[in-house]
Amino acid sequence: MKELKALIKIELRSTLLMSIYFLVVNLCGLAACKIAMDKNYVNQLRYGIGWYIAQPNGEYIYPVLVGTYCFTLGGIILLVYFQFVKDKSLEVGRFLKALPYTNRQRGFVKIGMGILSYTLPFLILIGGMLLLHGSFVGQMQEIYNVFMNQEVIERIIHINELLKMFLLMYMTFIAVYLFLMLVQYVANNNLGSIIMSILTLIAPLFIVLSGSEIYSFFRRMHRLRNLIIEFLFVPGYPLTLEGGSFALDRQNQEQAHFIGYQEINHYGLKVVGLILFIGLCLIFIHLLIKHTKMEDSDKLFNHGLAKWIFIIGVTVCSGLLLADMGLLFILPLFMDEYFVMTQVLILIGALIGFVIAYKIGRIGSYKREEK
Amino acid sequence: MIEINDACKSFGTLKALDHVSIKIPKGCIYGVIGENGAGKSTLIQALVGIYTLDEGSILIEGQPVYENNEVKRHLGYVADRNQFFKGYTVKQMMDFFDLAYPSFSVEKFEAYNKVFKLKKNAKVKNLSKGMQMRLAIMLNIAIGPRLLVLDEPTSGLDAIAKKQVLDLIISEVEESGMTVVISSHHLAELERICDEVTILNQGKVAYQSTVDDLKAKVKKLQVVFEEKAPEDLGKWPEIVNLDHVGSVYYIVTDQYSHSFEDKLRKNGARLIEPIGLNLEEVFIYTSTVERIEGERGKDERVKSFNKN
Repeated sequence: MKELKALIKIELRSTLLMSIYFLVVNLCGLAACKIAMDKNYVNQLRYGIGWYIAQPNGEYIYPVLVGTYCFTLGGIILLVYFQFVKDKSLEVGRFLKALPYTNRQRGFVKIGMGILSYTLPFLILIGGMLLLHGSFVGQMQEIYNVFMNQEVIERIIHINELLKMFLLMYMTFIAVYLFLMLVQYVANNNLGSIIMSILTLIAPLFIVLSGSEIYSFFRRMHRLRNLIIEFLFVPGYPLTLEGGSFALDRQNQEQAHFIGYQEINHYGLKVVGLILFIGLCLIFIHLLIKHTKMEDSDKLFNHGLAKWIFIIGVTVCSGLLLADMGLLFILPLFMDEYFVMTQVLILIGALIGFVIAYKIGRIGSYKREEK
Repeated sequence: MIEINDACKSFGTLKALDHVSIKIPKGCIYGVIGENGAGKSTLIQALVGIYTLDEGSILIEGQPVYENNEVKRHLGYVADRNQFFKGYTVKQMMDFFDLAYPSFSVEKFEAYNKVFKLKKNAKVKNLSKGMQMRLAIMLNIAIGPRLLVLDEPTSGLDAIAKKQVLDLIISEVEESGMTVVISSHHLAELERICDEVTILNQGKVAYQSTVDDLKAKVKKLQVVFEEKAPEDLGKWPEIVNLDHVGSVYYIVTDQYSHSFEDKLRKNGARLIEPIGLNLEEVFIYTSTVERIEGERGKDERVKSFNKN
């Protein structure tokens, strides 16, 4: 550890900067949550059960968590950008490479510091939320006691539900962060890598949604389609919830007060999926770090396989994108049956995408052949 | 001892190093000379473990350097261009080196800074190119390296600073016995401090010897023949450059010896007067002949001489 101090020092500035950002986001989240809880309690005292909504996880904490979650994801993208600014500069990159540290040491110190930068503020968020939650449940306990569905309410607002949500969010942060890091080791342009990572995370979801628009048989397979959509977009794991409701009191159906609640869908599967995703990212990062060469820094892609995955991905997505645009804006104006035309648009879009991606993929290697 | 064995490195279709083999003895100041694009920087960057080789090996005291922290801890590298974190101050860079290299001596750095006089709170990005070079040299010598590699270390330095830097390097070599590999376009400086040199040309080793041997081998001769100069003089393998003003022939040879003088005499040379060449002239003549041979073949060089 002692020998890595210099590497830690290199990463310290971006880590501290982003830690402050994450801390501010999380403190704002806590403040928003506290305001919402206080308002609810006052309204409850003032207006009675009509204002009562018994699910702090859903109505109070959850919207705040979504906000902090999105801002944290944005921060993670910035963090990766800052972490690689020095490395991707040719001169400083050479200087770093000449230092007595292996690629692996540099890479894993970077990952460790990056994870630390959002973990500590996230722990503060968890601590704060647990305190707020405890205080809110304490305030509301007398109200829960008079409800016929007290046990159900207590299960919904149980602290375990909150901790489950935090765990899923944290694992998703790590998964997204590691994926962004992985693409940084695949491609040599800092900003380009980040754009590629974001598009790659969105691409599977786009392909399924677009495919189901174009091919109706897929649209008809509701359950399968929804399941695929839910699992293909990793950053959306903590955001896809299943809603439900139950009656609060003994009055007849028309006059009953209902409570809505939300639960995380397929929690166990998502956790397993994230563990696999994180594991794969770490394995690939390990392999890529080992084979990253300074002399390849003017090429966009370090590895031929990555270049072809990029080209194929862009080809498929651009084909579907052009077909989608045709379906939305052009084809309905001229014809009633547009299956064949859609296929033609897919081919044209794919061809354009292929040419552009091929040109982009050859950046750097093209120059060398010309020398 | 540093052994560069059959080193090959290509960038796409460009062969930057083509079977380069060099042996550098311990405690030696070794110069690497070559035109722009000859492969000097590639060789130097492979030597400090920035580049990996396609073929061959680089061993420093028997160990490979690429991704080898143990070797790199005793290796100082002064690059030709800025190699710092721009936002850092001189003091922060010193602290950084102190953390990165266990053998770094703050006291040594302070002592060198008494000569070079850099303000420790000055930001690196605000220093001039020459100042940055001084800082790089001070930092890397303060590591107490077993091998110091310098790529164009005197570029951007004024005459006084150049002398200070070179004197510092010489005194450190004398004191610590470190090995120095230095690449420079300023051949007069290399001549002053280097024990041995390698001349690289198009990625290949063109000449390799001690500076004194090289200067003894490559000589310019002023020759006057009894009658006419031999017709095939330009085709002699010993001759790398030939010129004449009236009856006086100026012959540059890379194989100077008494037997070569005898050969000239047997062919009618009445007066032979060797003129010493400095390293820069040696480099110009040897690299020019290599290029002419590479581009047109030796016969064409001879033909162009005969036309004159």
